[in-house]
Amino acid sequence: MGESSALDEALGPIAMSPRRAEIGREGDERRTIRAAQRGLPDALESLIRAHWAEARRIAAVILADDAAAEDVAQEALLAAVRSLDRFDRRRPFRPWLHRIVTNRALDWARARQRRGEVGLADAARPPNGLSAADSRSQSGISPELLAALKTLSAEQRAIVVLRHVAGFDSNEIAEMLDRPSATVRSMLQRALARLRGELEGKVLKETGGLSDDD
Amino acid sequence: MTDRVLGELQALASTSGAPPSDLIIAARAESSHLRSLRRARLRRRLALSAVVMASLLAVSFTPPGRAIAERVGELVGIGEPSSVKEANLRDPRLTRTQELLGPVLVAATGTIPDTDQSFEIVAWAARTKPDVLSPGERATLRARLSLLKKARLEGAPPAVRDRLGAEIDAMERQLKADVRLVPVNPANAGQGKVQFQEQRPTLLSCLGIVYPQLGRQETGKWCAEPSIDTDVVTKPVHVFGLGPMSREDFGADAPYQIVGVTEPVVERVEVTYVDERGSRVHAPVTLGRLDGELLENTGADYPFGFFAAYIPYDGAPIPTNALTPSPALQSVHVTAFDAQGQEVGHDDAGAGYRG
Repeated sequence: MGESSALDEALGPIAMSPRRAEIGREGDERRTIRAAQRGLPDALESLIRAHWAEARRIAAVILADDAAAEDVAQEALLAAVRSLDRFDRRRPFRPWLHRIVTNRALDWARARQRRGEVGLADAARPPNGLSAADSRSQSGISPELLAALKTLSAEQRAIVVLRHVAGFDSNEIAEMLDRPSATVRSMLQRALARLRGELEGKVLKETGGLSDDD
Repeated sequence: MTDRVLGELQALASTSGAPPSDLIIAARAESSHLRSLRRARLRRRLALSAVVMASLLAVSFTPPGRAIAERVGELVGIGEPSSVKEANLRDPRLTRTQELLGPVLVAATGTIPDTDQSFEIVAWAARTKPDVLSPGERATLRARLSLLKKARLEGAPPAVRDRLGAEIDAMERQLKADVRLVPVNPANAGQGKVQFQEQRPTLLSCLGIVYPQLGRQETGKWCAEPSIDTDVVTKPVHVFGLGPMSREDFGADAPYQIVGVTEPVVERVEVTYVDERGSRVHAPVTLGRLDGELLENTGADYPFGFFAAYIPYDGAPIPTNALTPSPALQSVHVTAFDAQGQEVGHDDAGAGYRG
């Protein structure tokens, strides 16, 4: 009961008790989220800084477009901040946040498809006359991977990035995308097979389900 | 086969970058929006609670309504205002040196086994009252402080008493609540300037147990003050109250009560004891946790848990100036588990009764 106090310190080295243990990083994030929900600007900034890079990566892979990814990640993080008061702190924060990022990116991809924008091809083209080998996107995606990703649907790209870049398991991804786990797993396997085929120059001829941005 | 796809994807995970400054500015600008949402939500909850309590009060004036009210009352649950009036916790006889900062909210509810006596584990935030010490009290505290200091330096056993008969250990806890020593020279930690409680900022995060049918706070509360490390919970589970309940309030067969505190990681507590047939049995345990919304809505800032368990009275004599020689009390053992069901700590609480 309050075993280590200023009183102990002042009384000197006799019977000094251990200080309470640090709660740890997870506890730190919970405290940051609580402070952010209370509207502390520093806590909001801290959350943004902690999750920006990953949010941007997820958007970049789903959209295969760096410029758009930057905009979408910004919009998604701001949307998350605005709805932070509705976040249930008993649940993990990352899946909640990246669900927002993923859905924003998917909405953007669908809207772009409806508008008939090219996006993917533009993003795959090396800028400023650089060769493909020199040109990685700001998100670190190589031109070859970008070209392979564009053969997948936006939803397949979402599953790939959530599983193999963000490290979520198929059940978490299923919840984020409102899809059955089995569907997520089969879509992931097909997407990886397609990517392997593309990167190794052996495009698998599959039937159905692999058209762009369907 | 080296998987180039997975290699490239996993390489992406290590890329980093700072967010654009306009995003940071926009996010910081949302802080006032979040603060206003929080205030509005708190107002709605308090209003809803007031409506529920008013409805219960109105309905309970009729006999059928009384039955309904009792039933609905059971549904007024976690996070709602306690059914014991806040005024009871403001009572200076109970907390002479503290005052409430916000609502007293329910963290858990239960019933003492084999009785109709319900209880609530309630949470609240408080601060120490300014200017509560008279000059005489300050002088007494100073005298006790120097006695305690002397006892510590001389390695005196805990049984040392001051001239009025108070035990050193008991006075130490009171001193921790009432005074703070500010070392004047870090190289000489034994020397310090006494700072009384009204001179320092305090925020107490409290959990305690109340009995609505008695209409007042009964036995057991714990207030932690993390800013000065007073009464922070330093073990996964710690029993601080173990013994017979008041015969006056709960009758001749009043059970034994066990109350304790837990670290935030603890999700479940088990209390066992040896019954009259010699078998080790489990006592029902109610655990209330001061965390999440409850922490926020009470205004407290230190998460921890508080549990209560009751074991039947075994007929042992209850002397007024000695420990009850109860085999059941002597055998009490408490174990704490985390969310995965792993044991994270235990307290052989009955050892204190074994002498």
